[in-house]
Amino acid sequence: MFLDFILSPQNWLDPAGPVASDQKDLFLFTLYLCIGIFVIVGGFMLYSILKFKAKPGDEELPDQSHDGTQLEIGLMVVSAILVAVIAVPNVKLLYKLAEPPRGSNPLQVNVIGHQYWWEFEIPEYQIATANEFKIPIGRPIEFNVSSVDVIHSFWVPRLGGKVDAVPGRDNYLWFQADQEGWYSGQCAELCGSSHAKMKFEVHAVNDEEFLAWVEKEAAPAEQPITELAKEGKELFLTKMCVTCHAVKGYDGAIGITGPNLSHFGSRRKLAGMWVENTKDNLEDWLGDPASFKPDNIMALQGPMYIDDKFALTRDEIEKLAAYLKELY
Amino acid sequence: MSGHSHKLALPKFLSFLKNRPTKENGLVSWLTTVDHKRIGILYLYTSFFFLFVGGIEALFVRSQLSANDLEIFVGSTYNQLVTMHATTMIFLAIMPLAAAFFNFMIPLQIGARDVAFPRLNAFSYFMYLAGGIVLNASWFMGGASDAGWFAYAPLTSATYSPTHGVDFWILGLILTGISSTVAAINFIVTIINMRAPGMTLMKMPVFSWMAFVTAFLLAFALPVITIALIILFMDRNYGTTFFQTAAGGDPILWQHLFWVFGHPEVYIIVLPAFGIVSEIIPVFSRKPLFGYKLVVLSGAAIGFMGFTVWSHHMFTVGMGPIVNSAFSITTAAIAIPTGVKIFNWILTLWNGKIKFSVPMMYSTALVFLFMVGGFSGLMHGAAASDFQQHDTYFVVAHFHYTILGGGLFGFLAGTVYWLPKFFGKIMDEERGRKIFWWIFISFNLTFFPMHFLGTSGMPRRIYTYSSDMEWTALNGFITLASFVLGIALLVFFIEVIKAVKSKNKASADPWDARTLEWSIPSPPPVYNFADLPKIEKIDEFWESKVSNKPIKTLPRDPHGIHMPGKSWMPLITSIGLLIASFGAVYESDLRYIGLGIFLLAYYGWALEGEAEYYLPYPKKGKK
Amino acid sequence: MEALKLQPVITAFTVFGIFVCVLLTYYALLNLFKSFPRIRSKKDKEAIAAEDADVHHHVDTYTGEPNIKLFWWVFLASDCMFFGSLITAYLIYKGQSLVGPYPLDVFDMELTTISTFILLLSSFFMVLTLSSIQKGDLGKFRFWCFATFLCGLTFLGFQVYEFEHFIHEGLRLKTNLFGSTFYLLTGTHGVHVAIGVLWLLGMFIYSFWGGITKERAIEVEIAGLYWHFVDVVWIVIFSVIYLMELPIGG
Repeated sequence: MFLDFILSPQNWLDPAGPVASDQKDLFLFTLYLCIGIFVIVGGFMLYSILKFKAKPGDEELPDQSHDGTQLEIGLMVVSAILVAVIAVPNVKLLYKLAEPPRGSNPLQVNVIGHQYWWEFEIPEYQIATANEFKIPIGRPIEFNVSSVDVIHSFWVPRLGGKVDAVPGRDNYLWFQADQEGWYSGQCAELCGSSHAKMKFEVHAVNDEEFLAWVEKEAAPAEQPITELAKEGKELFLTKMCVTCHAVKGYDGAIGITGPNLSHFGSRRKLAGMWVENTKDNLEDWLGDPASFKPDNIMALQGPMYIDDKFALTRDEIEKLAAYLKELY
Repeated sequence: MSGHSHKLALPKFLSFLKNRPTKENGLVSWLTTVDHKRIGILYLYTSFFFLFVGGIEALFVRSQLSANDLEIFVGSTYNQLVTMHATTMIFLAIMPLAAAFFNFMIPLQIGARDVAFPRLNAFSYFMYLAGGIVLNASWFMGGASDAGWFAYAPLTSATYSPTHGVDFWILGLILTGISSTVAAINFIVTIINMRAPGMTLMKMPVFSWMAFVTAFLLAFALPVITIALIILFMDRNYGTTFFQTAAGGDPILWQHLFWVFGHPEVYIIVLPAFGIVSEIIPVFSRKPLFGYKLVVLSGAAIGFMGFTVWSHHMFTVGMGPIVNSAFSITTAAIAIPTGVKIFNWILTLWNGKIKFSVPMMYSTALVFLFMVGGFSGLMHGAAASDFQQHDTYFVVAHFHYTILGGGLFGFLAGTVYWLPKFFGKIMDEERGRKIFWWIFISFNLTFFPMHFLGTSGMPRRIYTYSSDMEWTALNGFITLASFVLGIALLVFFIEVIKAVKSKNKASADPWDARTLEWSIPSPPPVYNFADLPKIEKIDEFWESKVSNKPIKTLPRDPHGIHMPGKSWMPLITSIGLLIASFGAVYESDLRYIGLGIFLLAYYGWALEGEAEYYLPYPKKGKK
Repeated sequence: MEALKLQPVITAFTVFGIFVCVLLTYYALLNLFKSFPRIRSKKDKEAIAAEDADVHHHVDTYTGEPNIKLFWWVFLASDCMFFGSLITAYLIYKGQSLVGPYPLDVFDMELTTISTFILLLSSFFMVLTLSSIQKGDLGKFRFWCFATFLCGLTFLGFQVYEFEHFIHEGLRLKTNLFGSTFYLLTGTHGVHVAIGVLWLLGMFIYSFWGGITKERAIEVEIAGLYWHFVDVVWIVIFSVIYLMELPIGG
């Protein structure tokens, strides 16, 4: 049971790309080296503890020698060598990871941290989405990481190490996925009350699937079909959702404070990747977002939660949810 | 003061300053004390209290994490607990615990009657207490700081942390910073100037040496954090934009300033513990410390190098491979002097006749635990793979192994070892051993599994996690172990108090020890040394026991034993600054009242003088 | 915004290294001059020591230096880090302000040069203050002490005038990064000067109560130590803030 952690979708000792794999190798190299030294030094210490335990009644003083310059210098030289042994592969890897291999054709992705969600833009295809995005396998992805409020940290453990999203700064990170699949990521720098709920997922897919997704994401949002959803679309405007959320093709819905909802219905999860994107969960979220993410901006500033004039009834929540689910 | 006894030159209206408190017992005597031993005891008890508070906070944190999706302490409340746990433990528990030993032991180890500035010493204690009050008052005045103990800008700005929590945090830290700076300078002067004749620096006990290095670290690192805190306070309250990107500021400046202080801080915590261990291991191996000079020099080297590694806390802020490589290498290089210490401790054990009394058990445990923490530290130093470990539970495991394993274990060892000197009582050996094993095992069960949480991708400071992350079982186990650890530590401190209250009188030298503090009675008389010793060798006291010759002493002063006078001023100045701090948080006139009290008491302090007096010597032959 | 520049940090620390060296040399020279008339034979020294012992009971310190003097040395070293951080912050944000007024819009070099000169002059007076009390000349001590006090006060006056002038020009604490770093750095220095001025005034008054004597010249000496330190810090601040704005080489 305790060994379950190995199965964690964020176990970085189970890498799925070259960057994470190199990092794992370096980690294990230093780990084994350290364990080796620990066993030798610790073993030596344990041996001296057991061997030189005073016998009861033995009051005579032991050998009082307390100097061994050559021994000391030797030990210092050995430790210096060990330190150098770690430093060399580390520095090599630092430079190797500084940019993707030459000749590869990296895909650019802009990552913008918000309290408490991630915005992803792929400028090449003019896509903007939140918390979930797809990448093609076998191709390096270059991230320009930034933040609009506080410091966050962008991290997909199974694909590579993290880099901080610092306001006013463009930080750089690249990684590549070699296997298809969903890769879980998470904010790694304390960013406020809902730091724990600032998760995201990267879906690595093959080229065709990626291009299909890109095409769909770039297109305007679907028009609602059901009556419920049509009414929801009206509410989206009258309840002031549009001031914060953008929906491609919906006049007036160009807000940038919250996530872009153009293709919300196609997302797998919601509330910082906490629950499945089902109708019930969505309605619960709309009813009380703070119970999912404490102190999130929507709950703190959204007119429907702070102003009685815009408060949502059960009925209206259902309509809004229906509309959002149809934004496929 | 070099002890000139002058008549006070005071005009009539100030002559009341000549009336100094003289009470020897009761509350007043503790509030006006300038005796380094009493101040040491005050530090000891207060830091135990804050250790308890920080421990409770830790257990609250662990309860929230014991299973997935729990909602006991959610969001901001959880962040406040995490922040205050770290702040309390570092600034109000571990550092003052070291200060307790510094206060009590340095003058005794170097053969002095008190520290260089007794009233300033009292002031340090009261400022520490004031800092603790301000920090914890925030709980009851709108919530504590929830921005983490390293309070990264711009999360701490008035926009993202609108409550007064961060303001209280800033002022609390400034107050404890004043306390530590003043104490550090006091110890530096004491060690340079008050050593017994003949005790050259290279004949000084290792604990005093490490205190000396620590004091320098404090004196040079604290001003930097103080500036950072002042800037932050101005950003929050006076509209400056040091950390605000929109106006051209850079939040990374905070990180640089914080860690230029923050990394030496790690050695501020660990070096005193190393000093304690370097005292205990030779005593219980019945051998001199192996390679005394190298142990001392490596301590000093660690102190220096501690200032060159700060950016290893910032590998992920995007400094580029050049800076990251540089800081990687300096970080790894610290392993060399640290290794020297560990080798020397082991070589001291080698060929010894080791007696496993309780202090020795904690000391040897420290060596093992610190090795674990040191090696994971070396692994963090490898920046390329640290991109993965950074800000995960791997780091949480690492610093608990260094700060608890390398720091607290040393202080526990010191508590048991020096309890006879502090209180003239000795702890029960059998129960002490049992408690040791409970603490040692539960410590490892609590913190070792955190390495695995780290490798499986659990970031630090998240208040909850979902079940599909597969962290539930391990977290549950850790929480269980942490409660055992908490109870074991509590039992330890109850045992200490029981020993103090008991009738287990300790002899002057119960461990057959080596340094000067054991040459005087337990507990020591108010003047420490009736006859000030003259030193010729390292471990003069041990040599005198082996050769059966008494330590040479200085001729007696015909006036008697020279003593510093008690004073109210340290307490009043501290109260002034305490009031001013609350005033500063609320931007009310209280700050002027507080500063006024401070200034008046400060002038009183300057004018009242040392008020030295003389005690008669005890009869010769009797120690 | 571009990444945090390391260059100013390095410059700041270098400047600070030089500054500490200057401080040490300064003080060494001061001590040298002081000790010229004091070069005496060992016998004389013993005689003086005996005389000292006669006057008052003397607890020896390990180094022979009084504790209080060491205290101030260590404190000022610590204070170096305090100013070092402020200067670093100033240099990092130099030229980063997004809106004016910028340094050259408000600086009045002549004015600040005069006030700098006055502060430097006060250091000279401080030396005379100390040497008069060491000779036991209380009258001269009062004169020079008061002169030093007046210089300090004048410097503060200039600073207040300068701040008011800057505020009038539209540079407030929160106007831009230049304003914030400038007022914080010079303000902190101003507070140090103010403390020194109060100290000098205190000594001046105390001397009438009989608190300042030849035997307690050490109390004046540490005040001098502090005063010289504050002075030297100003030289660094003046160079960093004002002189670095001057166009060099046309």
